[in-house]
Amino acid sequence: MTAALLSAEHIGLRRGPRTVLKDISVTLRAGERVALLGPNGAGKTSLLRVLLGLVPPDTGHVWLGATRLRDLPRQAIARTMAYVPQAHQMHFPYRVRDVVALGRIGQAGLLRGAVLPDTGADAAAMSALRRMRSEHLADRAFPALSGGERQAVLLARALVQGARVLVLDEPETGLDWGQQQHLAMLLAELARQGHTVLATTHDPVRARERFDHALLLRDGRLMADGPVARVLTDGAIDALYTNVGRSPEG
Amino acid sequence: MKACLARALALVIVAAALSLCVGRLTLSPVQLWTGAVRHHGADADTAAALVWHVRLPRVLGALCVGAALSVSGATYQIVFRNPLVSPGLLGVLAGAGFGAASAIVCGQHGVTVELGAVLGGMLAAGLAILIAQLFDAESLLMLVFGGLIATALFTALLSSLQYMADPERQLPDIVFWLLGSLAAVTTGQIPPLLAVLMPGLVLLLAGARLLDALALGDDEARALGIPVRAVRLGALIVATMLSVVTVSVVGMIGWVGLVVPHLARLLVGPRAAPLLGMSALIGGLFLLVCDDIARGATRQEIPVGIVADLLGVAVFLALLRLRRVLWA
Repeated sequence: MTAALLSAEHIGLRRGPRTVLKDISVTLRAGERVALLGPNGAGKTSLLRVLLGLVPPDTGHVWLGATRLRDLPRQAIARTMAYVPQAHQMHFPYRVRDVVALGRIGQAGLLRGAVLPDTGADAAAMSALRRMRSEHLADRAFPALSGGERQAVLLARALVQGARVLVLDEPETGLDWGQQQHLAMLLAELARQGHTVLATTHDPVRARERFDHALLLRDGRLMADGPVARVLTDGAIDALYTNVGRSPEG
Repeated sequence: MKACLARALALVIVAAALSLCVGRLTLSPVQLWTGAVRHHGADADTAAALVWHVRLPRVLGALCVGAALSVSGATYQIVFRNPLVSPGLLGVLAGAGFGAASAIVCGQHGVTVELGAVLGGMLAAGLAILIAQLFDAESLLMLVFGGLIATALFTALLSSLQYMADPERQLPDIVFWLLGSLAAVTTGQIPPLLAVLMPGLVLLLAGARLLDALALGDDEARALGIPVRAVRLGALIVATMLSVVTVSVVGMIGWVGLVVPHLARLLVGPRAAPLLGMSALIGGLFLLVCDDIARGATRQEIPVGIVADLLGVAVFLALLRLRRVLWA
């Protein structure tokens, strides 16, 4: 088994009096596609945000390789991990190639990445778009894209970022079946190239085909963690999604 | 895009030259050249004095003020990810109005009133930012609330000053100041205006890609490696300085800062670097035209703030129509 790329140890997160995450430990390895499943409100997005370093956990630590995430500058995190958020509201009609090129901004320190002219940015953006088979979108306005096109474009930006860990929040939401298949194919390809994919999903049945590993989250606790064939049994899925909210320590 | 910026620059230069001819005493371009530049002919002295000491500072003033307000507005719109935001969002205009009115009520004139406006504007924006830092430093919405509170507070304070002011001597001064005018701009005011506008514009242009990243959303920008809070605060401080200084020189003209970035975005797209450059050019041009109308349209000069608001409405309506055509 390959070494851990990203790991979390005993993560706990509170928001006011409410416990959002409780004692969660997970490990992500290179080339793995990991699905994060759980009912709404289970804490999936919170866990992603903690793993990305966007929220500091109240207890426990996140490790990026051998370094604690909180000891790393934001730019160093950005070179290893990329975030593909849920469909978002953008008011300004940025072109796709410009959105993708922004992935370069954290590459060489803020001065070199953002202030000095970056002549290679557009070529890097185009090459990443080609890898995601989306070069035909380069001059379209990003907010006018369909959900599936956006996911592919944001994955291209993650590639430009040079990130080995790709974190996706509900990437399948709003995609039709064909777009979902296309996304699954892209993610499989990225995993084969050594990227680690962590994605939340609402579809446990298809997660069996599209992911290698599954994490089941409920009421902020990790219920199961293992290969999809072992974790995503019909019984486990039933248990995960029934009687939500009745857990005594929710 | 570069061609578009170059054309706008050429237009600004032509408009500035023509503006030197406009006024109660209209000069032809030939008279401008022979009289003021070459110093030939019968009215050469009058023309030279008029052009160099009265009209040139005004033209430069209009260009600087329009550019600064528009750049400020464009920056605010990017930072707040909202095309409806104007430079007045953090209470700068209300604060500057209060500061200027305080100075007038205390019997001050000229530079002291301007200083009062600068201080008042910075105080209001500072209060808005402080409120946001105290309640939720991460939240953009809290900044909007802070701005609303600062605006409300300083508007109330301004009203109370207007209520207390001497209706014979002070109140007209306050009202006139609030309307906004370029009539009193002198040569001496141009260097300080440029001293704020140029470094401000350079700083914002240098951070243009950071602003682009900010427009994506906080989490996304952070995940790209951007220190979101620092960038946001820095951009807001620079943009606020730009609007505060201009408001102190010409009074309340804020609407320009909302309308012009729209027009600029339509021409060069949403990326911060070309957008800020284009906003500066169009903003300068817009206010220059407004001021030409203000002093050329009637015998009695109209305050430029009124012209800018009216023309701004017309331009904005035209833009909304055009947007449907272009972005459909």
